[in-house]
Amino acid sequence: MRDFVLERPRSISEVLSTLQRHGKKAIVKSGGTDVIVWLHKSLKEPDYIVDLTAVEQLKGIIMNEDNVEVKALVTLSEVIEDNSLNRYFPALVQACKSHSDPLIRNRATVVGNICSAVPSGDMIAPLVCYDAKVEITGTNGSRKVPVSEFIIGPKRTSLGADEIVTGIRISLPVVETSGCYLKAIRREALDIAQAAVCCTLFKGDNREFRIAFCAVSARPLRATEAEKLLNSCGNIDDNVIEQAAGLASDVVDPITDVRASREYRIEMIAELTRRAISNCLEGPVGEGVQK
Amino acid sequence: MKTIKTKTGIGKWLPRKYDLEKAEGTLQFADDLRFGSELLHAAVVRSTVAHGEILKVDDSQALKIPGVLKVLVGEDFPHHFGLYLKDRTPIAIGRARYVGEPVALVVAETEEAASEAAKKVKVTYSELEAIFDPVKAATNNSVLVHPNLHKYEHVDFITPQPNTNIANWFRIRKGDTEAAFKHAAHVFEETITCPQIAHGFIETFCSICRQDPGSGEITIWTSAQSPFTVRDIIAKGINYPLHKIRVIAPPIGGGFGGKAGMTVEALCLAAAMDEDLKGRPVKLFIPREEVMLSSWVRQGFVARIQMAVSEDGFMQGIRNTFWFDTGISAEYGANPVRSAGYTSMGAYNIPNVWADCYAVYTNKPFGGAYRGFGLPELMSALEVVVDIVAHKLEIDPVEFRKKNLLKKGQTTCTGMPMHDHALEKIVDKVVEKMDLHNEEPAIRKGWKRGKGIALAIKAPATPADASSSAIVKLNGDGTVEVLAATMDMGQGTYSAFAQIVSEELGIPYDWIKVYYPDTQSHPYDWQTVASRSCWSMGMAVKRAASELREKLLALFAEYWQTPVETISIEYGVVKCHKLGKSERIDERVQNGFKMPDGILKGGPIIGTGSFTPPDLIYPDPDTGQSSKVVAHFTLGAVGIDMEVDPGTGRIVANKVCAGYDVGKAITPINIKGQIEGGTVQGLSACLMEGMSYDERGRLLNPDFTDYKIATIMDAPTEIECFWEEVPEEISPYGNRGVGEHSMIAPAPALNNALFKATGMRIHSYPLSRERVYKALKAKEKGESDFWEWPYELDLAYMRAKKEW
Amino acid sequence: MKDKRVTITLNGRKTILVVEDRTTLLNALREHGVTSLKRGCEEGECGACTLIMNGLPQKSCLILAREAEGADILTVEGLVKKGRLHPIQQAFIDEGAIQCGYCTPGMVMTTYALLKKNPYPSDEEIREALTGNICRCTGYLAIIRAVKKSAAILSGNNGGGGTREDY
Repeated sequence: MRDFVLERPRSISEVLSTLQRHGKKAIVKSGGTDVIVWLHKSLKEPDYIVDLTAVEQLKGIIMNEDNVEVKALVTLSEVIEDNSLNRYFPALVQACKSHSDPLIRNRATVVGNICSAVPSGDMIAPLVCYDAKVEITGTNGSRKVPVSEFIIGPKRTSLGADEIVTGIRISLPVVETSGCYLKAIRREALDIAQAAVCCTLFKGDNREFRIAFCAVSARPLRATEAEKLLNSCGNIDDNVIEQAAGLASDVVDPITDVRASREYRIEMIAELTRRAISNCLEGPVGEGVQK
Repeated sequence: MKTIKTKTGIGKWLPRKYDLEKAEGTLQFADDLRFGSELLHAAVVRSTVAHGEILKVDDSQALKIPGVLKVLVGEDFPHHFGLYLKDRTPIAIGRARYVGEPVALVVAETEEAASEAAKKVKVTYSELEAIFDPVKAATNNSVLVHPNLHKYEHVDFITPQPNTNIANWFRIRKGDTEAAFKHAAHVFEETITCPQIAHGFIETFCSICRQDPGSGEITIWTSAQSPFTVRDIIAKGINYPLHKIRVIAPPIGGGFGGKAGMTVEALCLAAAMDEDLKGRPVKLFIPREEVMLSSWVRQGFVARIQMAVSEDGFMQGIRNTFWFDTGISAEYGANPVRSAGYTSMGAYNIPNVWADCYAVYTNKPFGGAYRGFGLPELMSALEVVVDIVAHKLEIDPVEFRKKNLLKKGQTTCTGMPMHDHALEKIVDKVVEKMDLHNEEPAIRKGWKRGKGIALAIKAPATPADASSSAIVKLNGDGTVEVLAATMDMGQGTYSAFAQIVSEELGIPYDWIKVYYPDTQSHPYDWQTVASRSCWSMGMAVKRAASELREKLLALFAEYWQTPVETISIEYGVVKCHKLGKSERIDERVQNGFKMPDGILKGGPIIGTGSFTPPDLIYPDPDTGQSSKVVAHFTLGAVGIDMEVDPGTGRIVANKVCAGYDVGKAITPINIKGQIEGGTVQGLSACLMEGMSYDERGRLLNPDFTDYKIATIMDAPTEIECFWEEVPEEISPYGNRGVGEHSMIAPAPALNNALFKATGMRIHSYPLSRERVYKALKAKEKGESDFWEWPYELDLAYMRAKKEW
Repeated sequence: MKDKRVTITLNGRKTILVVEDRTTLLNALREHGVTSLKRGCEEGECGACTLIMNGLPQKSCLILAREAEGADILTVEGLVKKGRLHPIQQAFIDEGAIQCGYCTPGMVMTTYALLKKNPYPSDEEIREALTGNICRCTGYLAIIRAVKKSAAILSGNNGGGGTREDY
């Protein structure tokens, strides 16, 4: 590992001034479970690492009246153990549980996962389905963007060199929901997705399915055609599910690599979509906010 | 009257030696040893081409990094090393032969500086055409991996074929195969492949070497299974006297064959012997992502098996062609080929056998020893072929196997008579415990369930003269120290030796210490391989302990003036019931007994023991025939109940049952451990393991991110293991090896179960989810067999759009 | 340059590590003498470097040493009290859950954290908790037996004891 200077600012303003000083020579890390691996493999050789782990302002899950903030240092384990997130966002919790192993989940953060922006990032699809907003702060002020706009390509985000993500904010569902995250991997656990499907169902008068994918596109991708079909059908039978799965697998554009072939990934998207839709129709049930 | 009594002899379930220190975390492995600030660190510069002339090694940028002392190239240490065939140099000289081959070695004051500098060494190559496919390499000599093969030294039982890529060609010619096939009612031909796989030990390689500048004496601390063989290979490689090389082997974190022979020691030694660095210890720690590039892996395997069967279902003949993909070196890999050849008939009585077993050079990392030594590959093929034949003949696969079992007195393919064994009983038990003939519905919704069986057989395929020796020392308080240069790498042999010593001496297990090997203090042992230790070294330890006992009893006999037969050692106390005497062992065993006549007799008591297999004869090179080519066979059977999710190709093993004829269980805790561990390692290899390359020969899964091995979630819910004890004739207590055998049959048993579940035969391992999925899709289209050339994935990678 | 000081509480004692910015907690502690932490992969895939930091089991190869400033760190060395093994360590020995021993300290620490949080884990919960600790030798089933046994001992419910004779 090439040497670097480790900056450990204590506040967001210190983070920003540090970033302003070092510009593109710096990499920001939170849990570090991706960044330290990249450094170890010499995939990145920055002069500076700006470590956020000492910034108290970036810790915590905050429940507001109609939304929840998951701050930048919230680990996957914290999400898994949070009752509210389990209640409202079961697909996000499932995605967290499918990620790596319990030891890594004690360090890896939700925000870090989307900032790494690798196509196989497990947090991306559920955050897309739940329409999460990425909260960004920089020297020139703050802004919010949807996850789908935040990630602009493999390992590329719209984050400026002087900006950090302080957290994500998700609106609480106002209706009963269900959701799941299904992932194809090479063994029973601790693997990067070959392909994964997140499906959420917002029940109520205007039933709405949302489906998004993992590891099968360069940018976050939703199955809009499949969603339209499902949302327009009164009765979702096997035939409709089959059509939706077909529409879903039509839009993905995966690569072939040592983890899986393009063909297998496409087939898994169809299969997992089929299963995910059925799962959502049967539960697990997430609650809506009582208004 | 028995001369000893002990509660901690053979057959007892006892806590294992060194488990305490392992649980405490205080046991020091090679990487944990400390050498102070004089220690230098080496890092490897590796070839980026699969085959090429090395034109220039530019180290100017590397040497600018603070702390970097030296960059060595192949010409700086121009010695050839090898166990059976001296075909490799620690650093490539003139020509690089695989992506990842060491082309330079950087030595620096710190590990960080060394690895940083290694990235800065610029090597230019003139690329040559490379060959990756072992069958092509064996049959087409357009690319020669070793044009100088004819010049390499080798042992006589290896037969390299100069001007080809065949590093060893082992043959079996038994009976009249041609006639058998001509007259057989049924003839079958099948092809099955296994990729190269990695040992996956959690401790990587680590060596520290130091040469004394004045005396020239060399000390090597290393993660090695076989310290004496490290010493031998290095001594022969650098033409150095044995007594000037000391190899210390601290505990190792798993071996599985991967730390047998000489692995990275010579590479580290290249730096330690450098004129400018000499005197300072040099450490070479191989990081995980370089492990598969640094030493051998399990060889890739392509098997073509033809079988002739009579009308009434008896196997009449078998014709095998095995291509072992040995990568760029066959120094060790030449021998699994012979090992597989010795067992070409599997566990069956086949009168006519023809086998051609080749070790084939390709431009890939090299193959060598791996738990099972050729047999997991061979049986992954043969036991599936036997299953295929049974189904095609519409005979129950269990019946077909039992009908053709190789029984006592029938000859193996090398012409030696099979000894007695309990295989038939084991098969029956596995069938019963698995309820194998009962087709049960899948537990998981939409899945398909099947049960399968496969047999395991393996003999130690060591050189005929592979020997062991041991020293047992009695201390002045009755405790005992054992010097037996076996490496206890987790299999638990030190517990076995202590139980053997307790059995022979009547001294409690807790009073017995077995030390990790050091060639300076320990007597010679060939290697810790081939499941030979409790058998071969077990003989030496037993003999040493018996000799010690006889010496001790003789002294007490004279001291007490009673016949030696009246004396016993009971729980560490020497007794003579006839005289009513009972004495503890004390300083007299060190400084002598004052005998009744006033004369001091005795002195320090040690026992020594040696063992060389007494009756092994190398086979005839043209026919493979010999009266006794191997010491013994360990046989067993594995039954698997599994189910598969056709929608994804995911396989889950519900239950595994595995039984082996171990001759005698010396340490039940270890036998259970070996069976459970080998079963999961075998399932892991079957389901997910394989080294993949791109079209330029670059290993795509060098680390644990992409080379997946079983996690705890992948272990089956239940492994029921058992063993039978039909004793071996030449053996300490009738025991036979079992360390490797548990890895042999899980893969074919699972593959056969998959067929039962789905009607699909997969001819290429691993049965990865993607492959199983594809196979089941092919099944829907009417296919019954699925076969992917080992390099299919590589081709897919070549086609991939790498836009990410 | 090794010029940064990191103050931690290591197995109950205040300890100062002198490190570089790039030094991982794994390497810093190993250099300090805590060699129970093993370098198995250095990229979070094997678990041989598992320790407990501020109550949570973690892989120390994925932590920079300086991040541990002020942290309370427990390694397997800290489990032995007055020469007595922790029941988890003893259960691993008794059940044959140790072979080469390279993964053992990490396995023990993950088990320790599991049983603190969940004194009565099911088989499935044991497997889930130990997912990140790879063992190549044992095939894992002995480890599951050891965890169950230590759970029974720690909760004062060792009914029936071990399976020594029950091979």
